[in-house]
Parts: sequence; C-alpha cells; structure tokens
Amino acid sequence: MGTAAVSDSQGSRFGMWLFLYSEIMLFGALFILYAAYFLKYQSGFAAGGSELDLTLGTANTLILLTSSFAVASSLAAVQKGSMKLSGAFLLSAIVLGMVFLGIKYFEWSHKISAGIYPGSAAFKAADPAGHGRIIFYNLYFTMTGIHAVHVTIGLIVLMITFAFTASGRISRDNHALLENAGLYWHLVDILWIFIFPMLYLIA
Amino acid sequence: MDNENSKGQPYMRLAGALLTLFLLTCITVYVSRLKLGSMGIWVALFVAAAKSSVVLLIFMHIKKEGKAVMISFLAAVFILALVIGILFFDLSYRAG
Repeated sequence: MGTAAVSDSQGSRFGMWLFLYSEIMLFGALFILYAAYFLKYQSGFAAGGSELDLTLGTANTLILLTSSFAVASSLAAVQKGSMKLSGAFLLSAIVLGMVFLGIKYFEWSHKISAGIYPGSAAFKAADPAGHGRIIFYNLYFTMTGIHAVHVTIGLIVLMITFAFTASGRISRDNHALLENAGLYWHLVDILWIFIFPMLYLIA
Repeated sequence: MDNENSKGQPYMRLAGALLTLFLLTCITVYVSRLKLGSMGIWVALFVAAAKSSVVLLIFMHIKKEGKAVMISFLAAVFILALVIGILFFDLSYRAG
C-alpha cells in the first residue's frame, strides 16, 4: 500500500513536469517573438520600457519570489509533520499572489486610462517613438496578461490545496497535490523572472 | 535523497535561497540603471538564468527527481535554446 502510494506520487510529479515543459514552450514562443522585434525596434522598446513603473515591477518580483519561498516551506512543513505551519505558509503564499495580481491590475488600469492598450487609436496617433513602442506594449499586455492568467490558475490550485490541508486530506504521507501545486507555482515564478527584465529593465 | 525527501528541506536553506534571489534582483535592477547598452541585456538575462537555477535547485528541488525528469528538462531547455539560436542565425542574414 505504502509503496504503491509512493510510485503514484512519482508518476503524477513526472506528469506535472511534462506539463511544465509545454508551458515553457508557450512562453518560449512569446520570448522568441519579443527577441525578434527587439532587434528591429530597440529604441521603441526602450521608450516603452522607460514608461513602466520600475518600483512596482521590482515589488511584484520580490512578492512572487517570497510566495514561492512560502510554498516551498509549506511542503517542507508537511514533510516534517507540521500541518498548521504548512497551512500558514500556504495561506501567506495565496495572499502574496493576490497582492501581485492587485499591483498588476493597478498597472494595467493606469496604462489603459492613459490610452495605452492594444488597438488604441489615440496611442497610435500620439506615438512619438514610432512603431516599436506600439509593438512593445502589445507584447507587454500579451505577456503579462497570459502570465496573470497563470497566476490566477495557480492561486485557485493553491486555495484547493489549502482546503485539503485544512481538512486533513493532505498529510505527511499523502501530499502529491501540494508537491504538484508547488511545481506549477514555482514555474509561474520562473516565467516572471524572465518577463521582468525584458519589460522593466530595458529602458 | 529519499531521506531528505521524507524529512523535508531545512527552512534555513529555503530562506538562504530567498535571500540570494532578493540580492540578485537588487543587482539586476542596479545594473540596468548603469546604461551599459546591449551588454546590459546580456547581464539581465544571465542574472535571470541564475535566479531560475536557484528556484529550480532549491524551491523545486529538481535534484530529488529521477533521471527521467533531469534529462527531459534539459532536453526541453536545449530545444528552446536551439530554436532561439536558429532564430538569431536567421535574423543575422536578413537585410535591415
């Protein structure tokens, strides 16, 4: 019984890794698109990047890194048998993920209210840096938008995991769901680690 | 390997990884303000790769996985690097 549970956990983890590779390829395609346009429109990209709020971008990076730490600590706590501590770590990761989305919402709404969004006529007409700035913002909204969808899905999975931890369905001997939820959350973190310099640090 | 897996990682190791990630973030933001030109992009990507490695090795604890995960992960990264390499090779032969 015990052996069967262990091999099942390994199998589900491997399945999760295979899924993560498909996510790497999805974002890889966006990174390739970014690189190709960046080579052609460097000044336009720099103009777009200089208009983003570096403080908020950096804050969001630190928030997501801390939430990743909290999820890793939650798994460590379960493996040590500290279920309450594990739940506390998981809850803090969920709160941090929500703060990340809140900051992202603030940034998006600020840009949209200034007339900066894909297809905006005013944005195209008043573009001082040529076509590159428009492409930069198209990529900005696409990349951060798809990433935010991933954060949202990750938060839902973490909430389900938290409910299972609280109800005792996740335990020291049976925590495959927490491991897989953690792997997904860490990948979302890694994707942001690359998105952050591409958008915020190229000014 | 199995022993640590069953006991969980030490909290201090996880906290050390978080501290390293914070430091690397500060470094990459500081370097981006130095206006190094195209060199700055490579520094930013190098730091991002270093940060990802910390997350993979410590938070995701990839070492505890079997050979199948290690090999397939490296294959996925290799294929992505290959595609990006081919893209730049192609772009360098285009006019303008």
